[in-house]
Amino acid sequence: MDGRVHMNIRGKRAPRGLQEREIAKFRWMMLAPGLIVLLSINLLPIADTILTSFHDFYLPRPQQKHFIGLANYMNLFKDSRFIESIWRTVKFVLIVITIEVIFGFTIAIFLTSKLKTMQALRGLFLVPIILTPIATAFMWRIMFSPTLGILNYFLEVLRLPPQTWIYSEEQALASVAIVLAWCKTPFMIMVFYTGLLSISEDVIEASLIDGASAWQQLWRIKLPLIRPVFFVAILFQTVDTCKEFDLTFILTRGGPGSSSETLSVFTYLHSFGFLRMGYGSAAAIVMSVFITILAYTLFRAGGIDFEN
Amino acid sequence: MRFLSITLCILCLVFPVFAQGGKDAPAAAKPVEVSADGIAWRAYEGTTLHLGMNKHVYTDTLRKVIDEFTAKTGIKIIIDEYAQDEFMNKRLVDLSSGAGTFDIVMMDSIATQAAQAGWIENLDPWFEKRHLVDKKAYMLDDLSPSFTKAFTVNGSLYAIPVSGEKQVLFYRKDIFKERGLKVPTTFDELYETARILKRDFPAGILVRGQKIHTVSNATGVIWSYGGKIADDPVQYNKAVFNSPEAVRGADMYTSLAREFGPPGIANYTWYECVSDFQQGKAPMYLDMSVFMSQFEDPAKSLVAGKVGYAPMPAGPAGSKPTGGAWAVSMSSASRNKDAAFLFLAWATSPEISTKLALEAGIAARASALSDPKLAEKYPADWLKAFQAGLSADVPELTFPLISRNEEYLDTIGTAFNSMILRKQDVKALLDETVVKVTELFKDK
Repeated sequence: MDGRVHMNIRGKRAPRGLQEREIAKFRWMMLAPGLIVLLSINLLPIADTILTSFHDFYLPRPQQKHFIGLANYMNLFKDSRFIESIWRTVKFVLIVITIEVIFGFTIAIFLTSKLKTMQALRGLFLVPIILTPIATAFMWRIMFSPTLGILNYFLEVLRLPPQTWIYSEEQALASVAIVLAWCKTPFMIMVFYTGLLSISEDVIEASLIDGASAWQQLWRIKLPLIRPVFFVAILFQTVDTCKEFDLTFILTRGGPGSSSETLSVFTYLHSFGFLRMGYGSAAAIVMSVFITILAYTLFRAGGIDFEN
Repeated sequence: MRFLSITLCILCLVFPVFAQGGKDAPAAAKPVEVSADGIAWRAYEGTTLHLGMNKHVYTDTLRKVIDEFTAKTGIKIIIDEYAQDEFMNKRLVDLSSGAGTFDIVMMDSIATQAAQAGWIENLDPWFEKRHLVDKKAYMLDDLSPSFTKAFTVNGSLYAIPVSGEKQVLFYRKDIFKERGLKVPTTFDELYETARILKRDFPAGILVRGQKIHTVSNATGVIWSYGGKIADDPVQYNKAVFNSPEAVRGADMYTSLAREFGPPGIANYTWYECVSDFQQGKAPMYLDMSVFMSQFEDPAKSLVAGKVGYAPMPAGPAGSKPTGGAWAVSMSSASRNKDAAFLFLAWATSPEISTKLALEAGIAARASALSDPKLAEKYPADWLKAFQAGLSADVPELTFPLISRNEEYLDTIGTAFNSMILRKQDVKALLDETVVKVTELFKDK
């Protein structure tokens, strides 16, 4: 009976009227400006990059541009400098994310405490995020100077040996990582802080009644509850760190040697330094795939569910 | 990919400029009226010229005289000035896309590439246009050949050098006097002096150590030891900087840096070197003459008035310093070429060049440098060291006239940089690098 009624209703449904078609047209018209912008500044360049990556294209000689299939990709994976830059990027991401998570979480915990000073400091912790990367990089470059920099001055005051920071092969990558972590930790603090605030007071009270210590509260209750937020923050930062370019370029230009040359610096150098657009585009595509894989792995590992 | 989108954005942004260009062009059919000196000063009244300039002493100084040009011609000049890295990107995008944002573009060693790709104008035919320039009064020969050579491609001049520099030795007069040290005149003496001074200073000597920054300075030392970069200064068939002489030169430069340089010298650009020297952290510095004004400025420098200047020390083959120059060129995509050349010829004329030389101590013209007023204003030993550098007989250009210049700098710079980082077999490393550079030479 129910089924028949349902069928009747469906059967009665008239074909799309003129008015509906006009509505559809209107919808597209409204979407058009957005779509055009999206297409022209996002999808077209991506398509063009993919296309260019199959060509031998040296910018000063556009007339000699020709199709070479996958040769750029084959050469990339034979290029030891490129392979090294992939590992370097992985190492870089690991250092940056570790520092960011440790400091981000610790500071967020202190911010949620009822201490008055912490409340006052909240705004101060967010300062690095509003500075432009270029200014930050130049500021740190001066501080890193082995002879004139303030960092080595402090080490001297503490009777520690001076370091070479961005000026030596051994420390360059880690030094850049420190600067990036300094810039981006505020983001982590914000995310963790809001995550911690969203935990209901009831849960905490209940655990108190059950006699949980502060330490147990943190590990057994707070952390599991903010786990999704935790992984989303790491995901965003991982993607962001992989793409990191401006700080590295100004601080070290990938040097000394190529000790801090990450994927993005490698790509920039080959495209816009050596003007080998085909090769550079191929590197850019590999970089995008690399980031996608990394992001997907994290996505699965963290059990992130954007629907929920 | 991110850069491609950026490039596209920039292109979108320059389109309005593109559209505006048509308006600026003067009516072509109008007969050209010339002044008494035969030059059509007022023929392009109302035109606007855009200058794409690097942040440089030259740009600052030029800014002071452009009003004179506007008053004389009615042509409006807009200087678009950018910091070096940004400028190089902006210039590349503008020239390679043919957008024509800039009418006049400042040039460095990218000039060969730009000329071969047809991004900048061949200036030779323009010098024949009598209503734009009086060739006799202009004195093309007066421009130092050691600078014009770098901007000459296939026998034609593509850019006019405006600010020249040569390697000289900066040293601290007070420290040398106090310790009874002699100013080194050979590289062996330089090595010995640096060794003694390293005991009491963070650095015995400063030289640039960062990858691509090492190239021009190390090249001068290789020359002074009798080595060369390429077999032929015109043809560039193959690289020869693995000859015994070149190996000794490269070894000297990198050993000075490694043994007596400051900690972390392997990432030192001129920026770090100049700051260290200004703060008195090192008593010697081997680099380009142009930094004199930085050291003599008491507002920035603790060592103003205490700096001595000497020609670059000599190797077995003599003192053969490298140098470089910034130049100005005309974009092929410019829509106001007549007005642009009128400006170019005016700004680089003997009269204006001398004015700029007196203002900031920069010049690429012999007449401007020999002006007696210049000697009054700047340290006499600096002028002497600079002129010694200009008159030195050098075997080839500082940077090879090849299209793949950036890759050349990266390849050879990596070799020098790694020798500064750790002691190793110089000959073996250079052998390896020569093969790679020869490969780059093939692709002219």
